[in-house]
Amino acid sequence: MADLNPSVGYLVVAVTTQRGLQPLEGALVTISAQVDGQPQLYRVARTDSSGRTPVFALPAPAVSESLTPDQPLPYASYAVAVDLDGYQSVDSLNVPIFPGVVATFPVAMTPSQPGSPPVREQDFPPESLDTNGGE
Amino acid sequence: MPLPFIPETITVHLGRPDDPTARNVTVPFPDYIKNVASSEIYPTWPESAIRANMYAQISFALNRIYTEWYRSQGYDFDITNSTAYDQAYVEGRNIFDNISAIADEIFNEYIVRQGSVEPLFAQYCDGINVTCPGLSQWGTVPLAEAGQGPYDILTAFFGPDIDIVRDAPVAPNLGSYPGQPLRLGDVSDAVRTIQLRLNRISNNYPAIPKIWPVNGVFDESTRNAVTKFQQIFGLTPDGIVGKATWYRIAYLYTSIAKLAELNSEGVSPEDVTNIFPSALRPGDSGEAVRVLQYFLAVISYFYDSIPTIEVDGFYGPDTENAVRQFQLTFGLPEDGIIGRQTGSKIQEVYANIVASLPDWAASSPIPVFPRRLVEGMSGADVTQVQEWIGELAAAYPELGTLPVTGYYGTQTEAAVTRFQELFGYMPTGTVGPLTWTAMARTVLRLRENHGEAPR
Repeated sequence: MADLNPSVGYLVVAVTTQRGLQPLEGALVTISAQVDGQPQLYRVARTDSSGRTPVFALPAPAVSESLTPDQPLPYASYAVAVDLDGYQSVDSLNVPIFPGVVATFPVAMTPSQPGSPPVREQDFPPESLDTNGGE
Repeated sequence: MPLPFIPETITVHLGRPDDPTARNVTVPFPDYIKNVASSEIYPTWPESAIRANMYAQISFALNRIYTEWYRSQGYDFDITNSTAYDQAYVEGRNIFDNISAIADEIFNEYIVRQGSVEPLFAQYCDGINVTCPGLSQWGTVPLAEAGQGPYDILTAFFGPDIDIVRDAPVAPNLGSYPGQPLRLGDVSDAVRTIQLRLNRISNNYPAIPKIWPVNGVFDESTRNAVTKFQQIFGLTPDGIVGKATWYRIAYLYTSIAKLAELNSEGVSPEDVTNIFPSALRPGDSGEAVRVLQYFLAVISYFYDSIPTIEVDGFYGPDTENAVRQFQLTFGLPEDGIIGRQTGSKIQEVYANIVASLPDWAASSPIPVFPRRLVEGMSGADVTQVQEWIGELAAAYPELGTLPVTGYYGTQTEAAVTRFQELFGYMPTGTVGPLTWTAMARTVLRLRENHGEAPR
């Protein structure tokens, strides 16, 4: 996609069964973020027969913020909630979005069981560069 | 040591190596690389910086596998996600589409020292907070901005005496990329492979139109299916099967085809003809193992002493244990190996189960596979197949019409072949356990869908 506008990042949510092989249609996907300490709703959509949402365009920092190591905010963080009848809801925090890049977020759903919590929460770690073989 | 090849999957320990409470996850190798690259670097970096980093990540992982670094220490995983030891892997995270497309293209390429076959132990660090003898992640960005390509960037950190191995062999069941993109007008076996696989994938992803006929000719219906597949999976939707699209299809197809549950995919009909051709033993893998597992899984439903196993095509500890329990249950020497005696006993027990079911056709929504059906047979099971085809033909006219006679003649054989092609199975014209359960399942889905093909 040549016309990707910097300072806008893109997100597709792909909802499947636990093994990731059977797409789930009709799941309700809600995108929100904390703005000045308040939750703000950005997008709501249902998944299609391939289990996918439309491509959401979302605010993101400038590209220059992620091209040098000394920047405070290289990306924007969103919260993604997925709800579907008969399945445990999944609430995800800190889903990172970079400018000009499409991100595909896979969400695997578990059928709800009697006694199981109605929501599964996942909180992703900050995006920081890492190291390997350091020991 | 043998030459390295790209494994189908990699097992990641989600913690430090010595943390016994951490779980293991096993994921397709390209999916692992996509996750590592999305976690380790930023997707906004210049492409040659991203590629240089990904070559290092791929080489590092393959080095861990090739040298059996953890397995030789008695661990049951290939690599950890502890960045103090290995590289980051964040279970369930989002994946950046540009990184994903690069991984589909270069997951079977890695760095070696000239004169060596071993994937390079490609250490890297961020280069700001931590420095190390290998690549500096942040250091790749200015080099890329100065116009250097991935290889030049890598030599800046690992020295001039490195090579990049291109197109290393992949696990054989994936099928190697033919080397040239497949496009409209091409005619080849590789096209036919793509047609069968896309038809199979479209059973799960009905937005992908069925390709018909399946004849190895890259026609308009093939291009439509390829384009839709690319749209769904975030690839450039050009309707051409290049390396990235080829391997994305290959990995998804093999994952779907091995969905490990009873009455599911995993047995290729043609492999059932000669059941257990020779001895099968722990460590074996492939279709013959899947056949064994299918029969054992059904038998375990009726014998509490035999544990239920997954139909995953790998003769691992679970399968060995099930075989041993089977041998104990039926008074055979307990060696955990399928020889002639155990093999024929399994078939005998299975046949007895099928015969003892009061009405096999009503035994469950998806009846247990009765026996292999071939031309010349007659019976209630043949009638069942013909009725299924009749029901399916209302939604899939490609199947044609077929009289219900209870006799498996050439018309039935032709209709079964068409079904197999349309749904992505090996077109043998005979009904093995895979085709049997696929037909039953498709009929069920059709009824739930009120007779409409899920397209």
